[in-house]
Amino acid sequence: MTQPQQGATPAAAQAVLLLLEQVDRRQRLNGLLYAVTLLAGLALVAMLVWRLVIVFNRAAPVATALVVLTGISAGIGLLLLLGYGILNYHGGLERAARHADRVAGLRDEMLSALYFARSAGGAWIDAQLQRAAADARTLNCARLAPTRVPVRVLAAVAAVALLVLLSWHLTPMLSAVATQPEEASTGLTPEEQQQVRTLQAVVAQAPDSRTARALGAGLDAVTRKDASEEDKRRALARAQEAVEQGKLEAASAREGMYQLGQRLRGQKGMEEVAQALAEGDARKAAELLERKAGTPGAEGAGGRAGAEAGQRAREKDLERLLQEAAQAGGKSETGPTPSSVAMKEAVDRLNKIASELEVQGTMSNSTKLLQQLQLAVAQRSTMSAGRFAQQAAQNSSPGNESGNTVMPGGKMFRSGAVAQESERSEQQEGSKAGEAQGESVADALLGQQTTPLAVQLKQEALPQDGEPEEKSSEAWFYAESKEQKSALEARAVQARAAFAQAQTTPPEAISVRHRRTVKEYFMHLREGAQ
Amino acid sequence: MSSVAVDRQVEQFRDNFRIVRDEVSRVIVGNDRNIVGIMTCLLARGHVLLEGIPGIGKTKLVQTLADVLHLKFSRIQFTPDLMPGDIIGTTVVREDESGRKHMQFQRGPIFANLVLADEINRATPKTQSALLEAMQENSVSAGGQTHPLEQPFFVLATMNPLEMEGTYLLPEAQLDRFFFKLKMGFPPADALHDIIERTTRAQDPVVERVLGQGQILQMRDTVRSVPVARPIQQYAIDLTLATHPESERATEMTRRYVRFGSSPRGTQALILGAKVNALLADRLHVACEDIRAVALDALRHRLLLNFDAEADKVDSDAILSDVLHRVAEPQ
Repeated sequence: MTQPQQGATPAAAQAVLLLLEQVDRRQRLNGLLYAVTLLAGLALVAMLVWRLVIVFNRAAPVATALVVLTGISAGIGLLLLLGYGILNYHGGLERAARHADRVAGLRDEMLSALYFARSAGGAWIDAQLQRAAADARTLNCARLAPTRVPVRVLAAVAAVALLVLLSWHLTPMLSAVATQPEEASTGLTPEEQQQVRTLQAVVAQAPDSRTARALGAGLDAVTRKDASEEDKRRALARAQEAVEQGKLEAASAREGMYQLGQRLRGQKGMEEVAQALAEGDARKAAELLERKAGTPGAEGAGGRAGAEAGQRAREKDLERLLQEAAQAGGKSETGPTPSSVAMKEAVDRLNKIASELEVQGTMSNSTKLLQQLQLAVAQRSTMSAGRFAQQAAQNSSPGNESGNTVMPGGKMFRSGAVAQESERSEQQEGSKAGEAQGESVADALLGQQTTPLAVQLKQEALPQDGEPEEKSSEAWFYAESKEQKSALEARAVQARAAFAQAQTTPPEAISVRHRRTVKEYFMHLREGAQ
Repeated sequence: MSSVAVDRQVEQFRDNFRIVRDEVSRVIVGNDRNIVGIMTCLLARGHVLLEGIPGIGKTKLVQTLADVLHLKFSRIQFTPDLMPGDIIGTTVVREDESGRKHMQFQRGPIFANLVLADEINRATPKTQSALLEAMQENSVSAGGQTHPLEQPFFVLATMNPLEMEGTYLLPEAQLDRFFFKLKMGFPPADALHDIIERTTRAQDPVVERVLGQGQILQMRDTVRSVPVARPIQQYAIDLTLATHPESERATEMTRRYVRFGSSPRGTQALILGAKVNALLADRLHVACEDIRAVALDALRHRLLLNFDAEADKVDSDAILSDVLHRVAEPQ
């Protein structure tokens, strides 16, 4: 205990100091409890974050990030609160005296008494100490400084503890809630999911095919939850393009087989093979050729023959192989000759073609499903809708058949107001005119400024001699009005100027006139590479 | 002295104070706070400056106090042509019975216990300065001689804040010597009823002399005996420093509007006024709330405000209220 200075009334000073030390001890205990409560709160927050991260981790990355962020913020807040409490903790009897004065309404009596107890005495100081001691004896220390944690801190920690308990016991429910968005996050309806599964089964049948790989990549993009609608749409478009390319290649192969069959038709012993080839049945042609060679298949040939066949496959086409096989005329007695090897190789090539055609046939069956899926994704894609609107705004040339108007006297075809073209230009490609994506309303006849038909047209009667008066109403037609004629002529002048402008400064640096040439060049280049 | 004697002394102090206040209140209505303030100045060995509009009883209050206290009272009406000699006195040539002439100091009206300096701002600063030595040193120097003033010596000055014509601002040194500056406001309506009833009858209320010179001196000693703990004293110092714009403790308002802060006399006034307050509350120690209770009266005339304060119509009371709000009690 702090000893009072000489001069001060010892008993009175002792009473005051005793009270203040008790209050100080209780305040220290309260401070300790406060710190422990904050640390417990910190631990509870960490536990809560851990539980929520477990629940949300895989299903909802955003929720997980939010939980972690909130947890870190709460932790930092609690640590700051704790640090603030530690830094601002001024223990000691002075603080206890001020606390006692404030709580008991003593108006600095204990603070003054504490100071007087440590200083030199005097009559007035002794008197003050005795008064303070009398008040100190009446004070209940437990009431002055009750052992407790601030209610707000306790309530906050209790709330966090409750949340931890809830998160512990309701984890299955939370997991269900959290995984629900996972399924929904792919954005596919059950029907579309079924389509995807069907397409995936098709891909699984020929996983090594280039078309199958492209289709598989598209399906992966569709089922990936972090892929945007635009990504899905592009991936499906690529898959669609690969399927279409495969169909083209299959058609090309059938055409090649047909022509090959026609050429082999006259050769001896190859009639049945030629017939099978002409029918496009590569598998049957291979079987016939195999039967003719008397060999069980390409796999039955020796290692040397296989290696040689691999080498020749890169050098000769199928027709030459078949012609060589035809010249061999059947079995060889002395082992594998070049002709027999060519026959085996022809069989292998035909089998391979047959396999590719079968795969392609399977893929072709999936085209409809793929188109349906592509359409569903495209309808959800806001970007495609926006691009479509942009295209519609840029290219205001409507289709030839749209915008026809039924009016008295017949049907007003809008061809008078729309430039007729033998075929659609590239600018019209992908526009709303007749495209699958576009079901838009046709533009006004003359663009944004719509001129009434009564102004554009004038009725002209056909002079028909001898006809009765009442029938003359049918002998008239719509002709171009003068105003309309002038407007079209002016537009033609403007169009020529615009065309000249486009010729000189096209945005792609390719003039309109040469675009088709350039496109064809690259298309042929691509075919040549294949 | 025992604790019992101290308690008795405090009790005596409070009784005397109460008697004076009650007696003055028989004449002065609705100004209890100013009565206590004037008594506090008297007992703290200070002087008081009363500021108020004409006709609200400033002079009457002082006259009544002089009637209640058994002290020598003099009144000086300050006018522009008043000279210092008219206040402190002058040396005159006297001739005795034998016909020899000698110089004799003729005491002025300042040689009294209770001096009423009425409308002090009407005299020139030169004449106002005549009070400086008397108020601070309790003595008057004239003709090469220093004449001590009889205790208690208490100056009550009044001034009118409205009239500017023919008035002179009090010098800062003069203002600083006033312990308190009390503002007398217009009395409330119910107090006006009492004032009318008391002052419009055939006879004015009469007060008795209830306190003598010796009792007042004893009460002054009692005030000085009250101990002050260092933390409380620190609070008074913090308040004073907070009025200095260059101080670290200065508030935002102080830095913006105050040119010069309170002098150490302000801190002395805070402590002494708080001691009187503590005794009146039957306490043997000074509390922070005692200091806050007298802070406005003790410091408002010690702040020299800058032009911004005048432009923004910010007065000392607003700045001090802000200081009191922001300066924390010592922990």
